[in-house]
Amino acid sequence: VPSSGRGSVYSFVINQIDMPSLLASAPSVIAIVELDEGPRLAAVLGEVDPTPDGVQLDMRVVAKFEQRAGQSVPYFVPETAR
Amino acid sequence: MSTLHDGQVEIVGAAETDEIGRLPGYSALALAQEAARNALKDAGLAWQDVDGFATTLYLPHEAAYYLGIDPRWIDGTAVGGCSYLAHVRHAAAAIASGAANVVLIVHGESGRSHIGAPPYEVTTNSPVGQFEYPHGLVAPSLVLGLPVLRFLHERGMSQRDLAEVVVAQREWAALNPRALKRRPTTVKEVLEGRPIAYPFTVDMCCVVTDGGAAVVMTSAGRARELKQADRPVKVIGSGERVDSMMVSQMPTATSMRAVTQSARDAFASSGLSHAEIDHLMIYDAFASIPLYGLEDLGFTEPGESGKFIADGHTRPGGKLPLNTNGGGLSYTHTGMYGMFAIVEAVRQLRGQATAQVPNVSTSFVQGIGSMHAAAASLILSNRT
Repeated sequence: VPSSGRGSVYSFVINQIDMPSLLASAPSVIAIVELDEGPRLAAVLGEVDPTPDGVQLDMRVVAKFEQRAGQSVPYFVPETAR
Repeated sequence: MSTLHDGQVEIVGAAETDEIGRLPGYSALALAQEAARNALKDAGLAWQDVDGFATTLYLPHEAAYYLGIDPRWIDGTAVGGCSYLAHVRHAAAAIASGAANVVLIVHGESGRSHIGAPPYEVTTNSPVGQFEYPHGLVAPSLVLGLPVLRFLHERGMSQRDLAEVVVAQREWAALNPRALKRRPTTVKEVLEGRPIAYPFTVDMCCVVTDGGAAVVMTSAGRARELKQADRPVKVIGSGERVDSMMVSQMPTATSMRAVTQSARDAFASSGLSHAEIDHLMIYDAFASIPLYGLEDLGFTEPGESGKFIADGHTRPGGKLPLNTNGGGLSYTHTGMYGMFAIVEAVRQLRGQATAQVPNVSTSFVQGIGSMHAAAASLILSNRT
């Protein structure tokens, strides 16, 4: 499915304890993003306040990519962040 | 030949390790061995009587050799913490068909001390390893926590409903000297607990322990000659289902599909209605699962589970006693908790539970496994 990279937050969880194996340090927000084209995927939410009030269900988000170990890994930020 | 659910297969032995909690002197297999020995003693059977064997966490042949048994029927179904419920279902089929006569199903896990425990690995060879683990979904609290805010929102519930689950189950745990967390608590105290994975605070997450539990099953005919002959526990319904391992691919965050299907199969196979269930166990790795469970099993309407628990219906004296050992949240949780839920149901049906519910004749046991990805259900009865 070709994607615009835009979607909304279907659900999210805030990781609040540091675990050595975690790739994102606590606190961090992990979401299920529902793309505008339909599919859902799990991804980190960046550029948000990682608190219960800092993220809302159905919040509009857009994909960005970070380079990690030679691979391009998607994460999402609020549409208003750019 | 008898069939799977016609009451011709019984659980004739059920026991736990002598102690549960922090047991650094035991390997996982040693815990399994002690639980098996206690369950066989409870049944009045010996190791050499066992001709069928099921386990998970380690290989069934590895465990059989350690225990010194020589089974002619083996099941190593590995669908996470509900595996033991699936094993009971499979063993019932094996006994009904004559493939085995005395089946030992055993759990032993060093979940706290990690002695002799196989490593937990997620590799990029799996969809979860490729598409979810790299985004930080590395802990059960995060994977099972991820759909919960959507579930609560769609159902008109809140984090407070999660806390009510903890409060209700702690009332059962307070009656159980073996429970790890026994002090009664309040919604306020639970909500103000240490944050783990919002919306979960620490008491909304299961305890982490070492321990073991086991059951022994045989035919109703053989059961009449055994120690528990006057306390029959029959397998009268069951189900098992699987779903995607990826939490992002749950068909909806508001329901656990495998649980819904497995429970529906169990009810259909038993011919019982919800009103005929006296006692309920729902595998509670986190406080969200009993809410999902009550709704997905059909004991409440969608959105009514939180109120049902807050109104006291699942507490001591309530009309649907739930997780009467205190559950994974307060009693014990070694990692694959399912066997402890089965053993508590057996005790209730025998009238031997620590926090005994009056007049229990049927029990529904719901397991989950590999987070939301697998489910198995059992309906047990003491009716002769």
